[in-house]
Amino acid sequence: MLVTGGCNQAGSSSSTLHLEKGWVMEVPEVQKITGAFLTVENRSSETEFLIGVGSNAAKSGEIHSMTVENGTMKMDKIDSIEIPPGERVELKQGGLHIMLIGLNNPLHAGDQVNLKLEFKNAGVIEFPVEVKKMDGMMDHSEHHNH
Amino acid sequence: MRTKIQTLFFLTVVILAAFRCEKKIELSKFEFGGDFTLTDTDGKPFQLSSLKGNTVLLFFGYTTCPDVCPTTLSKIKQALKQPGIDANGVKTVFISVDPERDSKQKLKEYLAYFEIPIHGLTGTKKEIDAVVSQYKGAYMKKGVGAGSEIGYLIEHTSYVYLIDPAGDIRYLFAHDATPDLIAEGIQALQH
Repeated sequence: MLVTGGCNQAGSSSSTLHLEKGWVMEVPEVQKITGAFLTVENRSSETEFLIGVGSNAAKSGEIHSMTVENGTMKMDKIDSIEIPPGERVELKQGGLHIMLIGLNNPLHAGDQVNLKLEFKNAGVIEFPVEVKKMDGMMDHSEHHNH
Repeated sequence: MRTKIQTLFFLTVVILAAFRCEKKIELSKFEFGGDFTLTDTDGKPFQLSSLKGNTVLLFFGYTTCPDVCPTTLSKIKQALKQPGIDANGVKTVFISVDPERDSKQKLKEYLAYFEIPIHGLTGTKKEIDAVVSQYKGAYMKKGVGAGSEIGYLIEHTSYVYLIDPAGDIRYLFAHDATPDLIAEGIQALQH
């Protein structure tokens, strides 16, 4: 699903939202889906909702939740993510995340990808993020990175 | 006086070292698991017992798995790089629970990306189900809500089974186990 409508704003910040720590996971070329992650901070006084996601790198995007219950991974497509006023919501591995489905081309670490994020109040925000190797973003790997 | 200070210093270092070396992992012996035969990515029968003498990290997954599987493989890769690990003595076994979509070739290409010694295994649904049940695991094919273009996902056991060189399960790593913890489990078996 490509995000349409809303007031288009380039960059990682609007007057009410701040987006950071964005990245897309490099995956083996045979895998045609990947995860995208970021942190959204709602700097407005109203509750915001992320209601749509897309990217120039993939045919469609979806918002997913992930939980592990009794050792079993469970994942669901969800319609929106609520971001209360003044709060930050992290989309990260093992939790809420964006799925990019049907990658147009293989993604390699260092590539730039545009995420299109549609918010209920702020409209569509384009957020350029980098493709990274998955082990480069895990907390533990911080000491081992080049 | 100087000797006393030196002795005190030495003792402190020994005590600190002892705490550092203290194992956080308590290995157990599980009464399930055991040998099985599935098919490897070259289409040949593969018997788990052929890995006897090695430490084995076994888990269930599938190549369309968006999160847990690639993350787990990356963590294993990191664990194998840690000092004190004999990476050649550790074999990873990845059992696909998605025989419908995971062809042998796809599985092979997917696993090659992670650059670790790994055996990708598949089989008929019946064969896979038998191994899943033998390891007290579970998996379930699941639609991802209305209108999802992802087709289906599979909810599956996300433990990594630590298997000792004799073929017994000794520890279950949860999905959020760190590479340090995985390395610690391997070391506990290797030393």
